[in-house]
Amino acid sequence: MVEIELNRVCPNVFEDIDIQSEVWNTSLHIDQGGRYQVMAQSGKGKTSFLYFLLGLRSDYKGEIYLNQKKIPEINEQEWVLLRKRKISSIFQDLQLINHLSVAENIGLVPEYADGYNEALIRDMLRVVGIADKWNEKVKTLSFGQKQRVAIIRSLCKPFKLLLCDEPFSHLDEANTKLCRALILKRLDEERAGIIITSLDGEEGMGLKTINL
Amino acid sequence: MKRLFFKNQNTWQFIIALIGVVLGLTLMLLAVQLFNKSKNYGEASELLDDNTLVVQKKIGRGAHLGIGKPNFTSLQIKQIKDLEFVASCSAILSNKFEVLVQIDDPIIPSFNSNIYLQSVEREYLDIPSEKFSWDTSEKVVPIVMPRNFLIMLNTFLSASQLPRLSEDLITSVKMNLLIGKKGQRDVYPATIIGFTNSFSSILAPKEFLNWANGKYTIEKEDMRSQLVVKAKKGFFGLLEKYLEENGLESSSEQLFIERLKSGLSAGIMGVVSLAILTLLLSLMLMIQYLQLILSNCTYEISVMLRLGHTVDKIRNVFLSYFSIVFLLMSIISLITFYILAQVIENKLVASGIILEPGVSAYSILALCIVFITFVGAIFYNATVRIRAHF
Repeated sequence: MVEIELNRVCPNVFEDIDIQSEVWNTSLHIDQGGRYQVMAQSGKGKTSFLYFLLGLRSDYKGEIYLNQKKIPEINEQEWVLLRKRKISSIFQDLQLINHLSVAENIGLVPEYADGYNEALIRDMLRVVGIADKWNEKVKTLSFGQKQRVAIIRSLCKPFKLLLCDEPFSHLDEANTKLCRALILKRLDEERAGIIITSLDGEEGMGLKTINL
Repeated sequence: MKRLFFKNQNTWQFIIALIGVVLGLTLMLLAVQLFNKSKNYGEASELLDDNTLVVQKKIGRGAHLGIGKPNFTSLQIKQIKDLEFVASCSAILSNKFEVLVQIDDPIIPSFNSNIYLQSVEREYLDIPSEKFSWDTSEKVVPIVMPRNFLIMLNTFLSASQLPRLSEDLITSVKMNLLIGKKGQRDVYPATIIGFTNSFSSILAPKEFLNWANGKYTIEKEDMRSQLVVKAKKGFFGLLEKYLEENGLESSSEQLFIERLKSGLSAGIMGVVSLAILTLLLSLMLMIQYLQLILSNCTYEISVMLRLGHTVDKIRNVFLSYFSIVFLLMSIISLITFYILAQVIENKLVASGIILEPGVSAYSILALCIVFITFVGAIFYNATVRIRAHF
């Protein structure tokens, strides 16, 4: 499980602005296994928030605790373990390698979740309508298709917390529904929590809303 | 993972670096091999230690006119013996009869040459006394051959388009000493038991030379033109200074080999410098190529780290790639080096210089050191640059 605690956190870029929200400059506790959506308009720091949680950026004031440990105190080995087994992410820019195929991109995860193998992953691709793209280079796919590949890649590995940065932004309603269902299935299988950022809010996922 | 990082890279710089590595490694291997072999040339079986010199008078025009004789008097020998930095000194005994060496062996054409025999007290020679002794009951005379003689013999064989003889091989060649005047020569079979750079004449056991001088002598006067002088430990410099100040010199044979070796060494040092320069440049090019790939793969490395891969795992992809490439280049260099070394050693043999056969262990050691240094540089560079993306 992953438990998160924020204590008067404020991104450096907002330092001169008297910003107040349910995340910035206040205390926030995110339960282990909790399911949340972080809602805000563009430019309010949704992506920054997820990057802070992943330890990829540290340009903020205040303190963030991951499982009772301050983020700057988490060492390299601990981050590797967190990213490999505990926290899975869907980035807004997807973080796919364009010159590799869909199969190769998915194969980049260090290990698959318990019971998962190539057949099951291909089945997940089939569910979201891109099974025929298995051997296609990612650069030949549309952004919506790439987004679904990134979602599948994040779901096929073990995790206790799924961080998603506007994961359905380029998907139509039908594909969004399919992806939501797949994510919820995997959350249940892994008994994991989720933090999902969104402009308008995600319906039908039973998420608690945090306004940024 | 290799496809992830190495696909779509511009390989021109890498190819140039690889050519440089092969060139540099080959030159380095050759230089170390020749340097080491030329350094050891003639030293393995040298009979005199570093503190001992064969000394003679400097010959000027006067000597030919009978002024300033090259012989040492008993008084002169005693004066040298009494010097505080001299441990011991004695005259070298020479033959007082005509002697020829005859090679009588089917593996080389018949060969005769007038020679000189010499002998010194056994204390100066690093040969077991049972090996280098003679009495009238012995049929075979043990001898020590000057290397110059072997060089001369090999030059003769080369001119006759025949294979040259190594030191090992010539020890098994049948050889006779022909002693006495023309028409009345007695034959004494001889066997080579060692080689020397310090004497210009063939060395025979003192017992044999005394006996032969008694039996065949044609000169009454004792020829004491050379002395063997041993300096006390740590005083060799003083002995050299004394020789210089008193119109004496060390035997030209010792100097010849030293000059040959020092000439070879100077040439080889030039090749070593060129090899080091080429290697450094090409290794720098390879490390720059690594840095270029790491810069081009910033995005890919970030993705891998975000997915939960370790710095070590990513670094090992680069390390194994560059190590394998370097290993292949080393193998190519070793093969090129071996062929070139054979060609060069054959040329040296044609000039009468036979070096020890085989690949020098120092060459392989040098290759290992370069390999370890290179792998260390790749390890360090890759680790630092990948960790920066964590």
